[in-house]
Amino acid sequence: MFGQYFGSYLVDKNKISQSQFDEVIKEQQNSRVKLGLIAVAEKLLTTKQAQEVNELQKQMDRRFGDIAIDKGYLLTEEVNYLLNMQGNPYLKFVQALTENHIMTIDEIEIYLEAYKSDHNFSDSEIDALKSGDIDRIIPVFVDTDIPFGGECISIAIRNIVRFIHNNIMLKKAYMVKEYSFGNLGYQQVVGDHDIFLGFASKGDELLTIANPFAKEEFTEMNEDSFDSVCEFINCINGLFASKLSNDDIHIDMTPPLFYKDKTLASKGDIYVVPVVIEGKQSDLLVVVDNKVEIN
Amino acid sequence: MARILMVDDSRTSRKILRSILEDNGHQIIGEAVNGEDAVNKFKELNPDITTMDITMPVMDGLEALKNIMDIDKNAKVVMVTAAGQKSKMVDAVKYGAAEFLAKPFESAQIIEIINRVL
Repeated sequence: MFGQYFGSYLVDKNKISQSQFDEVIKEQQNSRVKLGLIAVAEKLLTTKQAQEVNELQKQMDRRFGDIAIDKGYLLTEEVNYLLNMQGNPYLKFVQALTENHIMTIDEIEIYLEAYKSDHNFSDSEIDALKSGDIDRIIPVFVDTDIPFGGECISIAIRNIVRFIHNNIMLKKAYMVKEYSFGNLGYQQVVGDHDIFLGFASKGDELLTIANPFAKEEFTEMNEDSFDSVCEFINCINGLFASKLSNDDIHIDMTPPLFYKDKTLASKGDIYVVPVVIEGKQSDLLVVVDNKVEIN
Repeated sequence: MARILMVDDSRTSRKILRSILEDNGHQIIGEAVNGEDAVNKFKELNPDITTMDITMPVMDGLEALKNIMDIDKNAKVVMVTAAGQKSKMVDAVKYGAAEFLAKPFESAQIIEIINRVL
């Protein structure tokens, strides 16, 4: 997941091409990170030490970690720590960039600092992105303290990862009073709290949600593809309602609806969370305890 | 093998449920898209089991359940609910629902419940 964020930044900065980005993302899906690269990225070995161990490994049938311990470069605990990091998405991305000679690890470090600075990310936010853990990533982009809205948005995003695509990219959430859309599927829940939850896009980007959920290949937003988006929203709201009912808060779901080429308006805040799936942006829209109008 | 009437306003939901049930040897003998449609199809088809979504336009699943139980007090109706519709589940039990299926669908859970009801 980190590759989506940092990789898009590198493409925007013209450091890598779109085709290199696509290739790296594809490659990292199935890769396992080499221990030497993790050790350098984690600053437990220098590049020179890692190269030396790699060379020794070519001459003997022994594992990288064992050789590094024998050489006195690493402790057993450090090797165990590095082994635990082999599935880390950030390191997979770094490995794919370095092994394809697109960037060196030093260049990556420089651009990572620039990425952090350009987006005003703190160290802990960058760590959250590197972790690939969606529960840590959501608060980087969404104010999860919004009463009811924060939890609802979090459940929606977790279920996008669960049912739609495991490699999404979020953008910073924002609030508006009016939102114009090309396509909108939504559902309102009513009861102790009234909540509007929808997915919208300018064009047919909502297909990136409709197709995987229905396991079909729709080519346009029509009644059938909207049905898939709406059913996905229904499942999200059901899970949200289930969570609220544990706190003795009761809500009921109304039938989902969809519209084309209109404007959503509310006197309250419309929370907009941009979600990029396969390079196409849809917006998650949430309104809490305020009436909405669609004109 | 059960002869099943499937009731849901969502085409996507019907498609996913049909695929799971047919893959496990059950026969879908009819589909309905709202409660009113469901009651008519129930009379016409006399299914072994009816799967019934709760939130639907025209006539919701609870109303349809009541009507079906009035027609046949031994009807086996499995309510399909998005998680979290607890109060409606309580009403459904009162009206005679045989079991509940939760959305999002989990294949193993569906088959276990259908076999239990059958």
